[in-house]
Amino acid sequence: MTVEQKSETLQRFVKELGEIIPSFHITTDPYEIEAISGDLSLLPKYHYKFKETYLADVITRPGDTEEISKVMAKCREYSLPVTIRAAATSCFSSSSPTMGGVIIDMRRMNKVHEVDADKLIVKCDAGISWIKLIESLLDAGLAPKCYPTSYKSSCVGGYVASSGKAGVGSAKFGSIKDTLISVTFVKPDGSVEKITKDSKGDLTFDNVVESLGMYGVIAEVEMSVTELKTSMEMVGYGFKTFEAAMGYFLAIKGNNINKPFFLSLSDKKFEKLAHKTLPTRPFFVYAVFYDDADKTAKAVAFCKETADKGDALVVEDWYLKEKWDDIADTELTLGRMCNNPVFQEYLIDDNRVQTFYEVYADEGRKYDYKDAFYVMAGSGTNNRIKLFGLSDIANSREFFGIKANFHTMTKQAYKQSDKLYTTGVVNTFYHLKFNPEDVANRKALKVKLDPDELVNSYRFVKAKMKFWRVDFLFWVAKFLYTVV
Amino acid sequence: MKNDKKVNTSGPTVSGMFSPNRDNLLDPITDTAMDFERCVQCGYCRSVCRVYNATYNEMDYAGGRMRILKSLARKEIKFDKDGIIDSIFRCMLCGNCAEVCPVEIDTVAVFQKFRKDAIKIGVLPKRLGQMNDAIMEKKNPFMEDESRFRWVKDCPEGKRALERGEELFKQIRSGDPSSVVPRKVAYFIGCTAGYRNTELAIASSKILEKLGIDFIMMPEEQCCGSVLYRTGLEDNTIGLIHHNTDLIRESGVTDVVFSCSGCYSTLALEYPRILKEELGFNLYHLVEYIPMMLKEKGLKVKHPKYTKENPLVVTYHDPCHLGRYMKKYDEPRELLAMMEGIKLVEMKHIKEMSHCCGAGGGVKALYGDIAGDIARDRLDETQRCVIQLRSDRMKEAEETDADYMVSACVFCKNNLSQAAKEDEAALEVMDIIEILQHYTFYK
Repeated sequence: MTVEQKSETLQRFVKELGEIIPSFHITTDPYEIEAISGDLSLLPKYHYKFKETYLADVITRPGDTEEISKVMAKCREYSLPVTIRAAATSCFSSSSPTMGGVIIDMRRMNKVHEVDADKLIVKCDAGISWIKLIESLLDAGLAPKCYPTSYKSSCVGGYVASSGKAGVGSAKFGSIKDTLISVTFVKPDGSVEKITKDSKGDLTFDNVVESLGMYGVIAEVEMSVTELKTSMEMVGYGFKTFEAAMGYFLAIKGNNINKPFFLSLSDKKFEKLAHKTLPTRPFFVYAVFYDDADKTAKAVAFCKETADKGDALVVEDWYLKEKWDDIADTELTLGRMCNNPVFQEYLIDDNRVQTFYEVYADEGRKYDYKDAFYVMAGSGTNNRIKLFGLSDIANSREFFGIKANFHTMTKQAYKQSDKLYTTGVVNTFYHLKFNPEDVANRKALKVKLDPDELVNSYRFVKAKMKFWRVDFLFWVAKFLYTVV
Repeated sequence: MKNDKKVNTSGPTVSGMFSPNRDNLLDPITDTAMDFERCVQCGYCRSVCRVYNATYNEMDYAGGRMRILKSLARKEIKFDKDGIIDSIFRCMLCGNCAEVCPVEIDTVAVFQKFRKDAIKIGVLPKRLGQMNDAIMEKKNPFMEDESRFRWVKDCPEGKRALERGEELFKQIRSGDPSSVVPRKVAYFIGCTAGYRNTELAIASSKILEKLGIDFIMMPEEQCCGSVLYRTGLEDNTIGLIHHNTDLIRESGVTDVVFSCSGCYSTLALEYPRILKEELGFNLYHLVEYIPMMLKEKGLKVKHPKYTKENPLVVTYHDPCHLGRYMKKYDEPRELLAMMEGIKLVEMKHIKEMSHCCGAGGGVKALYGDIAGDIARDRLDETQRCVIQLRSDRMKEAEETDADYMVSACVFCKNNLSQAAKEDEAALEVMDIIEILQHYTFYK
């Protein structure tokens, strides 16, 4: 297709789209396209600058499921690539339109349709932000069972599509999948299907959760919620060794008297990069209990009893309160101290966190950049581990050195049967390399639902980055950092 | 630890949108001019941006605009003088994004610089150009030829203050220092109260006199420059800044009081920054000055009609310029508490998390009042946005079941009054000062 033909086709597409949704929710404004064609990561620009495109051609903001359905059908009619996005907080370029085409921005779909306080169920649009949902539920004396720490901006649909397994509430109530009752899904041909745990078609609950937008649009969500509890208590202890901290972390996580609503383990560097005053031990475990008063009291007593058995140092209440108030900001405040905070997230099993940390600590001796280590307990035996590096992209040796270290740790994660927490444009190649069986299954379903591979296809089916090439580049980066 | 709902900070069960514990955080590395580079694109600012929540346009909130700034700085996108206008000017500069920014970027400073830089390379909306010309030529944005003190003919208190001011400058300029009767307080009325909302100037004058203050008004007062400064025409404010500062210094007053939050924050924050020196006199908004004086003079205030048993129920709207800019959250509430028969019921979004009325940052001036002159969809979109913002704020106030929505900013009052009329709201909008003028002051 020539440039003129493409332009003419897009004009026709936009005109016809205007018959589906209000015209001011369709745009080809270059500034808006620039602002929306990406997520927290700026990397797609550099990865894709010389390959294909990293900008969308058209942005559209449907307002309900029917509009999404019509937009999806229209995109298929015009064979236009589609990138579905909402808040784009999962990073790693998960929402980058690397094939151009149309961005379907979900954030206009932000309504709560029904709150059933008796059955403890909420039905809402997938584009609603967690903060808005939380506020709406609060009015009814309810709260979501689990939500990401990015709740101040992230949206419900994204957490479902990326299978949120670790966040606030997930150690107590389980992952987002455990709370879901149904998902209203718009397939690439525009057809709409309500998917429940009993669905037997091509699309099942398992396929939709962690679908990463590949099979279509999560339009509406129905999920179970919890009543507001009456008591909240927080405990925190400092430890001399990672092993002692991890032992305590697992003891609390495994205590069935009352599972923690939130549980984290951080190293001192993590605390020190943001706070002027902080406790003194090298490792810290923080737990929040949120339940009826007698249950939280029992849980706190268990924590104290367990801590007393070891050489744990109690963290003062004022610091605990500060930690909890800043729970959403704590991973971002490191950005106060540098121009480009970089990080990598992993999903690591309880039994392998220790090994993962040991490798990290060992590898870390080769680097001298400002780093930090943070573990957040997830559902079941899941944990989200986040590694940080404080960098300035202007110092490319350091920037790519940090990335090289993350690359080493990613290989370690897959080597020990764990994986990355989220998959986007810039890290999909790991999954292709280390998890070929899952990729084959995804491709098979993708071919059925989206034979032209138009919908969020940069992941898995049309991934451009090759593992061997990245592996080599990071070898060079590591060499330049550690040797030269 | 209690389970605070923190409704007034839009918070969820456990932690509010606003994180209050910044005291123990390390100070951010910062360089205002390039601070957009530190934006981590977390999107917290999107959740609180009233403009984004009306338009859903990615370039309308701080993070989206920061992304454009980064791309422009790296020359990854072209600078289109016409195309970029909305991205630059469709922002109320309300500062709510700065309150929630986890890396503490001074978003307002960044965006004001963006406007300033853009104007330097030729971006100037027609309406803004007209406003600039008016201020440069007439020293007010309303193209008024006449004095800003015409209203004193209906206000003996104002007339006396103006005469005191005229007399004072006459004495000073006579060259005979012994003839000068020094004055302590000057009332800076501002353009809007002088020309459009004279009821505010009248009420302020009455109250100051009730307090027993021999205040002056300055006959040669000019526009404070706020509107030019906010819209990027900072360089054109220099003359106004020097004029007003010199005038106040010449008067010898120690305290300058304001009924306009915009004038107040401009003189308090921008004048010293641009002049690179201390002003040498104290600045107070009336809602903080009056409680101070009441306490100093041991006065109380009572209303002929409203009592504890039969109160006037009000809800208070924090103006951005008084609240987020000047951090004056408690002072107006203290004044309301001192007014017998006033019962304050708070809205959901108050203080640091107060919602902007929609009139700030030059948006209303540039987009809000030009119906019938709609040349582009975007303009239409922006106008709808302004209307929705004020309407949303009005609805939030109505939920409190208050009789009045009170504020301390003439622009908020005008914009929200407009919403009250359009939406046939059940409550009226007033400035606190307008209510206070009907009170009796007693020992």
